[in-house]
Amino acid sequence: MSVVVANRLSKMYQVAEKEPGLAGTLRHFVARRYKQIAAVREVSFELGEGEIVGFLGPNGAGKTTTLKMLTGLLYPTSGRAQVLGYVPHERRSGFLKQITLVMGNKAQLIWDLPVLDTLRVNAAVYEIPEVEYKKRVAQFAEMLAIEDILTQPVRKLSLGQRMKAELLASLLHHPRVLFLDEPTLGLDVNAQVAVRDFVRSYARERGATVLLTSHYMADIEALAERVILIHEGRLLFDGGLETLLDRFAPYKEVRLDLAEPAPAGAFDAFGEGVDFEGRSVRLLVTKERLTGVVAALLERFEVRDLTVDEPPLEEVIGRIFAAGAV
Amino acid sequence: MSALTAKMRTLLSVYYAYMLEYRAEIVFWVLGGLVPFFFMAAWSEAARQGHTAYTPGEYERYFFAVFIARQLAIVWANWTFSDWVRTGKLSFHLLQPLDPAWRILADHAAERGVRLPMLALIGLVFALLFPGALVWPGWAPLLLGLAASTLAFLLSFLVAYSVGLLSFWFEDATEIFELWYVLMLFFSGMLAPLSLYPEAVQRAVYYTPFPHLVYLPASYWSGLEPADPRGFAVLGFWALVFFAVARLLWRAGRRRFSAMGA
Amino acid sequence: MRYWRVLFRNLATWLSAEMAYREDFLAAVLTALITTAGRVFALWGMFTAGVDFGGWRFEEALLVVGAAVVLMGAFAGLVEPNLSAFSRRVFQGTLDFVFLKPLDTQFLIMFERVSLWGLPDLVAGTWLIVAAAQRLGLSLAAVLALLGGLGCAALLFYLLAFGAALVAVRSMYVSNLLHFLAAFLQAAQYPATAYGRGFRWIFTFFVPVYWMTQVPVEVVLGRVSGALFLALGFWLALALAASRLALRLAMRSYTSASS
Repeated sequence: MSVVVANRLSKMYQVAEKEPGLAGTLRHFVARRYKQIAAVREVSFELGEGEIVGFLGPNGAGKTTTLKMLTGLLYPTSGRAQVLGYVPHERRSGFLKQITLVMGNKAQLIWDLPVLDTLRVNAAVYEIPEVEYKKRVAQFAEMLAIEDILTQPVRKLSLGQRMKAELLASLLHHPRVLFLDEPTLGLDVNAQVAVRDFVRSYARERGATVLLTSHYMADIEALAERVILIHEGRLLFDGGLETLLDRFAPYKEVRLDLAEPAPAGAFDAFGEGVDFEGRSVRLLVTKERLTGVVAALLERFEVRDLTVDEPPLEEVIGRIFAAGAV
Repeated sequence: MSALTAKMRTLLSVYYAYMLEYRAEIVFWVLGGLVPFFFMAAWSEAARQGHTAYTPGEYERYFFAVFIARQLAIVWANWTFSDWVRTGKLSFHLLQPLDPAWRILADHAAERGVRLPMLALIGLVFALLFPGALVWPGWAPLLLGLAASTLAFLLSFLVAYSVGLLSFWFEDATEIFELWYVLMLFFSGMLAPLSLYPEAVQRAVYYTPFPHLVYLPASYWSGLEPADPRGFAVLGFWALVFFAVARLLWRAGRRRFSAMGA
Repeated sequence: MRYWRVLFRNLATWLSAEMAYREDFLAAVLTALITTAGRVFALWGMFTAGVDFGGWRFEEALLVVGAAVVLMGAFAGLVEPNLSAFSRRVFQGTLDFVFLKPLDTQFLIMFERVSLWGLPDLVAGTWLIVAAAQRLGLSLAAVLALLGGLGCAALLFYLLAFGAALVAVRSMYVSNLLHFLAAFLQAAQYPATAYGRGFRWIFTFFVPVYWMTQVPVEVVLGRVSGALFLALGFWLALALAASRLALRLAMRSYTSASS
């Protein structure tokens, strides 16, 4: 049985339009014009028990809107959302106790109090018994390495510490379904890795289902085997990470280390996305041409080192979105 | 029910700690509420020159009671709720299996815990500055006044919360609550004892909540005029009305809640 | 000149931002109407109930009410929004952006924005003044002089609030402190003779609202010499100098945002 179901989910927004300047302001004050904007259009997918799925799309693609419909914060304009057999926007207590939503750009922690106070509130709200609560806090704090900051006021914490504490607070009630919206936003590499590791071990240990959006492809690569792509509110792709690369990136990345500097433009004929810096060169070459190009390169230049690799996921995704609908 | 009690107990203790962090702000907030004493000064000065219905001492006792009644019923639920909508914090509260109203109620109740000692201190200073002004009202009037004040607080809270819920529709709803506040300022006895108002005005506003919000507890405490127990019924009626309004707005508002970018 | 342009731009931007809240503005207008009616009614009630204003006539006292309402408008429109924003900036660490701009820091803090919510009170207060002046037979010049004096008074009040905010801003959000200061404007709506001696002393020297409403009105009524306007100017210059010094000292110990 699917844990999360999105069936032709759509969300329209009404947005008031306003021109700049005083005249525009006055007109806006007297008579308003509205515009319909489709944030999500007929998006369908299903997630199985224990799956970790990356949810990708450029800014404004409709990721957050979709997550909010699945967590019951937004009513879908049309279509059906179902999570753990519940209709999210009915906000049944049984549903709310089994899910969580983490937003990297929002804070639920009480700003002027120590983290522990927010945790205490959450324990009460989710009716977690005292002993169990202590056990979970100790376990999570250790996994996240934040044992010593729990008694500090939230405003004194660094961004990374705060995000870890947010995660702790959001997972305290052992949710079965995790919706993570940019959980690593703005964090340094160490903190990103820590958050990632925590999510992975939590999901593995409890068999939780995770739907995760992130701008950092490293998050997706590390956590998800399956990705869902949306663009301008529409579903572009849903499948394995490998399939995505095969389908959308029929390229290989060729890196050269030259013995002598070559003139600029010398490599334009060999492939796309030429990145040229002194003696090191980077090219994207289609798979069909790969053998020929490598041979030609070795023949034409004095090459010290040559590697052929999968291109970075960022670049693949970027190309897909730049190309628009597929 | 006991689950809710347990939740409220934790919320209260955490919000008490939270409000303690803001004690300096609360001091100034309390001091900003000293306005009734300005009117006390004007009325008792008038009384000293022998022109009005009561003695200076009676005015002092009355306006002190007004001050306390006002302080105990102060609410900001509209502000908190609007802020949650604006900053998107509401999302977190919607995700939890607890109606956000309880959180805001706990927040208000806990704040009273920080405010009360300050009020006691002001009472002490007042007693020193105006010797003889404070008279023990007796147990029954004291408790009845407290009951009236609690009811007035609940009603104010429900009105403020309803106004806060309007943020689902209007991006900013702060000024709407000002209307309530202004009507209260003029018709609740904060400027002058209501008995000094023209009869026609007294009659016209009798069934609105305003003449009872402050005047009812203040009458019990100060004994200036006999308190009108029918005020309880009026306050109770309006509290039920606004409870229903808040529930309706909550239901309709959630349906409307569009959290795009918020 | 540059300052005027920045000022105008700031005001226009914020006005247009706030006009987006249409319903709220209508509520503010309604509130101002009720409040103004209530104030006149309350003053009339005090007169009939026997409060003695030390020989003031009703219309004369109404001028003082109008003056106080104008100041309340200035408070809601300018003082409160800017100083609250200042306080938020200190806590969020975005005050640095203000320091980086090549304009006077105090000017930027004090005139960064304007709130539409002050407008209804400004209009209502001016209207009260004009109506009272007409019934008293005052000249247009007198009304303009009064409004000019009130402009100075508003600035004086603003500078006092700014100074208080500067002292408090590192340890708390200043909006409640401002609420406290604004309470004195409630007292300033009646001639100081209405109060007992202790209160009069407070309003003259501690939070000098006496200078802000009653003095300009009395000058215009010809009760006291116009030289008192000079005294108001003196207070203003003093407050300006003191606030600039205070800002300089505060900036010296400013350590940017602490997380």
